[in-house]
Amino acid sequence: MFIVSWILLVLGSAFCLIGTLGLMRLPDFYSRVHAASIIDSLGTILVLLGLLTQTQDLLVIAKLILILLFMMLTGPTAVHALAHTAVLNENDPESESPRKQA
Amino acid sequence: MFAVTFIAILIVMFFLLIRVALGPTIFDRILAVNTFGTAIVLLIALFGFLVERPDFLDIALLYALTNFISTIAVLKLFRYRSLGKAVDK
Amino acid sequence: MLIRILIAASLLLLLWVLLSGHMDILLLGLGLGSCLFVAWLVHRLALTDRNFNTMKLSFNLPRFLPWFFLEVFRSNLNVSWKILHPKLPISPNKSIVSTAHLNDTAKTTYANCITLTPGTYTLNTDDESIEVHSLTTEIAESLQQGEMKKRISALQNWPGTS
Repeated sequence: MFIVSWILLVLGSAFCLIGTLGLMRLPDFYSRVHAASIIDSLGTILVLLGLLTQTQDLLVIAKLILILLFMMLTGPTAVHALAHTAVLNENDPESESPRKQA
Repeated sequence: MFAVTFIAILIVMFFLLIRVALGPTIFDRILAVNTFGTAIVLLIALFGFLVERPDFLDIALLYALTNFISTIAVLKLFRYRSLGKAVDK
Repeated sequence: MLIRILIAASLLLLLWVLLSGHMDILLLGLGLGSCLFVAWLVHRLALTDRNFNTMKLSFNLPRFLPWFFLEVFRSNLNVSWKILHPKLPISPNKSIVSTAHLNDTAKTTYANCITLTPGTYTLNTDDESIEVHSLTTEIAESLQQGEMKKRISALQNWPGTS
């Protein structure tokens, strides 16, 4: 059981680091959102599942599942609100991309 | 093993702060702050397990709620220039 | 209408007990009071929400969720590979996905699922279509195949009729 939990935690932190690398590397805002959503989806899921397999306490498991459910529900809403506001304000996603590639 | 993930998330938060400082547009900054909130929720949950006090999960849950509300509030302020009154498009 | 408030309040009370873990009479009383207040507030807010059929949705959910999480995992690997690749082989583009025959609940679920999957997110929505930003053109093409849309519209049928 501990092996499974360790694998999940290490994979989760690896995906968080990859998402951060993307956030630094990708050229424009609309692409960076994809990198941030790696941290929001698989990074969060794997780290919380790794914590979930560490404990036997039912109350702790319920709280972890609630955190996971809540972040799965609100993450997309916040990202959509952000992207929608960005579109309304610049009305052109390609306007500022220093090294956009075809 | 919690410590490894803890350090990884601290590195993530460091680079997110750099993105907040660099970010050419205001939306880059808001995106980085929103992701920073996600990282903080994971950090608080991990810290609870690290010191073996699961009570910290309550704080993590509350922080997840607050983070969502604050992102939406900042975006609403940015779009309508007001938090209180209902303005139609 | 009173029955709906009471159902909502009892579900909230269950959440209260789950989160607090205490069974004192004082804490339970405080919880009951705040749950009733919140249920009344929600009732005031959601007066017009009539076409959401929770029962139908939850029957097909166990068949949808494993496929969806596998899809999230696969697209995560795809986007991670694109980020780690030294040449950064991305081609950001916008596309329109038609959602004309879906009802409001299915539209919201579809837009949320698109955003939750890395590589695609929703930019804009109107009555008949969703505007989607994709990281590469291949991801946009696979979205146009409509596998996810088929499964989400099947989510609202009775089991076995899809």
